Amino acid sequence: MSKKRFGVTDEMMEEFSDEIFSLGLNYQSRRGDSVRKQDHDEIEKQREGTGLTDDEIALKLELTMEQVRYIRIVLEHKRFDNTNYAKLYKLGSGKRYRVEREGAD
Amino acid sequence: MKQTVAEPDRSQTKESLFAYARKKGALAVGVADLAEIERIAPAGHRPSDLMPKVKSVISIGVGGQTQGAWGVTAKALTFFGSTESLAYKIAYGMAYYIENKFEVRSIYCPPDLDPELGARYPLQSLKLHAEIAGIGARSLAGDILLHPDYGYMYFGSVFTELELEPDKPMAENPCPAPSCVSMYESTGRTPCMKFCPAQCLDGEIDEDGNQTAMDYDMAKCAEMTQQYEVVPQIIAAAIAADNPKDRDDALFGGSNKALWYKMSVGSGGLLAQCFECMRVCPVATRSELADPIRRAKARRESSAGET
Repeated sequence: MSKKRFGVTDEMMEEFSDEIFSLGLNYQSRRGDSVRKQDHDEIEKQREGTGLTDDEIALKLELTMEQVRYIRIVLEHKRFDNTNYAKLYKLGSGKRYRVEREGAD
Repeated sequence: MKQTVAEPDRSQTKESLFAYARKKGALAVGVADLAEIERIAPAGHRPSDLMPKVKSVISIGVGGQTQGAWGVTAKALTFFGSTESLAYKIAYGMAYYIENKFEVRSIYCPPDLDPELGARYPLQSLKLHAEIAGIGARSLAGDILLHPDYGYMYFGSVFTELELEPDKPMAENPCPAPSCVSMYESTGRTPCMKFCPAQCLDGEIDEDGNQTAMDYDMAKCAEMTQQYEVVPQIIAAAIAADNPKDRDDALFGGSNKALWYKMSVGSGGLLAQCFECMRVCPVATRSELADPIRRAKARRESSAGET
């Protein structure tokens, strides 16, 4: 995948990063229970909150799908903190995560 | 003389498929309304995008781990907590069963990621299939589906050109459980929110005990559950290292080396590894038929009642 090939510039990365990252599946917000209740007006209203596809984001931001996909995938990689996983090693067998213990170990 | 296959009776056909799934180990089976899925799923991820002549979507749910599993270390649970392979196996078998018995085209719906879109978009949402088929409802725990009797399940889907009568979504959502509502009323959080090691869950419950908001930071959750995303990071760090020691650290340091083990044995320990929200969920762990011990007890009581 090449940045240049899809016409992605550094300025574009800067301008659209946060929006593309949050419009995808990375953050999901649901209000009520519209899919179970088959409330289609509500489903449509909440599409942005529940997560858009790259095509839908591209349409909204007036970019191409390939540009959105490139920026999103790079961000998902860059923002992935692989040190968090070690928290799991201390949990289970009666021990649960407590936010107040964070940094205490 | 040309031989024709008799049009199968729709309700008998459905019963036969459900019996097949249950015999193979499914706890819940449902037929999703195809038109609903086509309307709700985004373009490119609809059943007809995968199988143009699909007429029905069958969703199969299998139980989660044993009761004992909820008490083990998270480290161990990462390897065996998921039971999705049974759901996939039943779905795979059912596609063959339908073709063999009814001579109608069918497929096992791949549960995999869309290879064009990186690591976070599936080809199809098995969750949507199961919810519309009425065998799960969205929870406050990042929309993980829960069932009022079976708790936490894993799902597989079959697409077929057979026409089947669709089921309806659940009338009620089992999440939040009454004990979670009480905790929310006193602390503003439910157990899944409080004990999530990534702190990726938030939500609101109204005065009638119904979910009004669910907010899920999936990117944070992925740091605990999608360890396969670390593999290219490690390789990139090794390539970028400007000395042999840093390169060794990237490839072999600490838990990084375990990734090569997980990859080489094809371990499920590379994905869906964190169970901390479900470990504290009363629906997942204490529903009447949530685990083999509870199901055995229910069977025993039911047969005692019959005699």
